[in-house]
Amino acid sequence: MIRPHRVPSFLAGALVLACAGFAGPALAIQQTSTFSIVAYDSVTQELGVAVQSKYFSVGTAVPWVKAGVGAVATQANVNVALGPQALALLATGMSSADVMRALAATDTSWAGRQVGIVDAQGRAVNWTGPRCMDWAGGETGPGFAVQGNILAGPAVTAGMAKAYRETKGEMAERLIAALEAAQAAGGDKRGMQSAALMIMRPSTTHPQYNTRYIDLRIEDHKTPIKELRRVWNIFEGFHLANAHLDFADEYDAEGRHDLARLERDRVGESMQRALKRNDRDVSLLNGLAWACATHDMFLGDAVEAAKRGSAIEPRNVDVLDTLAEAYFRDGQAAKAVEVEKRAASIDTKSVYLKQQIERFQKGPVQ
Amino acid sequence: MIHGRRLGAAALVLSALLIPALAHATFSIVAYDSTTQELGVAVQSRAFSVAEAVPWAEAGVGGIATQASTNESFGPLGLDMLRKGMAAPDVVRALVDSDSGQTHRQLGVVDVHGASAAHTGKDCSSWAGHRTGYGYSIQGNILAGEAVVADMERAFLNTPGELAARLLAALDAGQAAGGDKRGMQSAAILVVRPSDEFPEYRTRYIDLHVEDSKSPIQELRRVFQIHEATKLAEAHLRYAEAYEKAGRKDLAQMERTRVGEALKRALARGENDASNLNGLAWTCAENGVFLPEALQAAERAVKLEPKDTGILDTLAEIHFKMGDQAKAVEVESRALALAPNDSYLTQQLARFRAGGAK
Repeated sequence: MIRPHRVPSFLAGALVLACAGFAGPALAIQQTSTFSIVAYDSVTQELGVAVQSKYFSVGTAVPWVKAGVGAVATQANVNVALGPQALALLATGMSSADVMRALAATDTSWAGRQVGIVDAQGRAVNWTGPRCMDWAGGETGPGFAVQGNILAGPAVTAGMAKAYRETKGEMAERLIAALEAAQAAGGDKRGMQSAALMIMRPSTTHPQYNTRYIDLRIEDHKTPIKELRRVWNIFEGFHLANAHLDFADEYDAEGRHDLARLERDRVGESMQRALKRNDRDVSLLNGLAWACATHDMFLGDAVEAAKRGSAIEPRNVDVLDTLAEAYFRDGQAAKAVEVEKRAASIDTKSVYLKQQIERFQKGPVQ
Repeated sequence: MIHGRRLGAAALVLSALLIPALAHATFSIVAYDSTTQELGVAVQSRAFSVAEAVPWAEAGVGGIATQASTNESFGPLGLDMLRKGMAAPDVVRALVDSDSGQTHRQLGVVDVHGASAAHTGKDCSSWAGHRTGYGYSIQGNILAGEAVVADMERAFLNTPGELAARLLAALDAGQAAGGDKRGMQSAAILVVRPSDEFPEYRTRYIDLHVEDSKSPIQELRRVFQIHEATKLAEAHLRYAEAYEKAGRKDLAQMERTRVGEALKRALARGENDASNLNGLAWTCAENGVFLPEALQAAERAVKLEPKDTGILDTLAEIHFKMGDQAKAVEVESRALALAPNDSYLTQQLARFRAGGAK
């Protein structure tokens, strides 16, 4: 007999149906015990899914998202095809509720499915089939739906909803907070194996964000939510800071300066989170500090982050250059020159560093 | 200054220009399989979460790797062009021509007819270059040397079997030849495949990420092996069924053979993951293929997890399928002794005792 990867044997009974019938590939009927959240942010137009499961590589099965269209989580006795099918229906302009009805009408094993859908107007619905294994259920709120099966109890999805509502800031932070709350409430009865965070966002100037704004996966891990948080922290300090600045430019070009400001603030928030958790990842500190310095924002924090990075790797020329740049932008030209000279004494051949020193010696920012 | 995560000084020029693009010192392969219509990309990089930026593929459309000072928009824009029927060389030309940062970019494209093309900008840090042939494009930058792409090409061309195995062999060869000068951090494999019945395969037939690891290729292989024993085995049987329906018995047979090949690979590498062994053995047993190898795998799995009734059941099923009724009954009885109330095991035992019809 076969069952999902590394399932403890007490579940064997649940999978009897899968094997006894010999009707088709045994693997087609897998109980993926899972909790997930689908969500929509009306300000940024982000659509996203976060999910955790005692199932290998949950990110390839459960979350389906398309910018401007919707976000879908398909789980329990999972029919992965419901993901792309729901997106195709949402793309025709159907509401999430109508899409759910259409899926129900065409899926002959609907009683075993669990699905959450939010459309691009923020209308969220979910479905938990009567044959999903206990505890199974969920709830919906404005712009989001949480759902799970084979859970410790209703506190899991209730905790997710509460965490999502109460967490401030960008969607990814709120989604991860929801996963963490679920785990804290007992989470998945059978433990953990994989997690994923997927967020899409419409962009005219950067089409990649339409299909891949954030797409992080933990395929097979003992503590997948913790690992997801770890890679998210790297991601936000690195890729996402650039994305926010891309969107800030896009908004500025459209005359939406309030939204541009919000995007830049997001970078500042990332920076503050990194400083607050005392992040020791030098490239992350350096990345955030450079982004802030070169955009003349949060300069005090930029100096602080570069200082911390430099304390960890005192001979890292890149970090010294960032620190010098941050000092310079912050109006501390003398310190900028001093730090950049230190960098130039380590990398004596660099033309770039010499140019930087000359620039700093000329005085304040033009 | 900032460049690609933990990049060396080579990318200085970029940061001086304040180009916001992230640098991906990387080696990758884009390839097409004309029998299965699979399109795939495999990639390794000394940059965080390379899956986010480099690989792009859509079934029936094409595959793209965009890297070096990465212009990520090449991915979706290139797929749009391929969707409209543009050939790979035209897509590369159009993307490169439209990009003011073209001298820093590296790009490989394979279309759905197997045509391939690549671009390595003259400002990509050395060693940087590419190799293309019918059905594939291999490219890399900040590499130990040209041997990296040459060995990747050789490994791809000389590895038999399914596309994913050939892509992973290419990554292994690239790494063995020195790989990325600055080391490793992330890896990914993305393979897409047309399917009427299972639309998810069109965008996600195989889609595995290693975001941040000291040995990402090794980790990618580890998760691929789990995938291969579970989801991919299932996918092969689904395609076998679809091919049967379409009257393509040869292709159906090939799909089943793929599962057997995966099983043989697992045995050859001395697989120690009992559920991987069990997944492959059960799939073969159920389909009556590669039974001697399935027997070996199931016996190995039982040795690793002697009290797992699911694995014992697999072993019993194989004995039964191979005509050894007595052993089937003996093994299933052992399973039932461990879980006396299990109705499925009871049914199985009765079935084995009755013998005859399989």
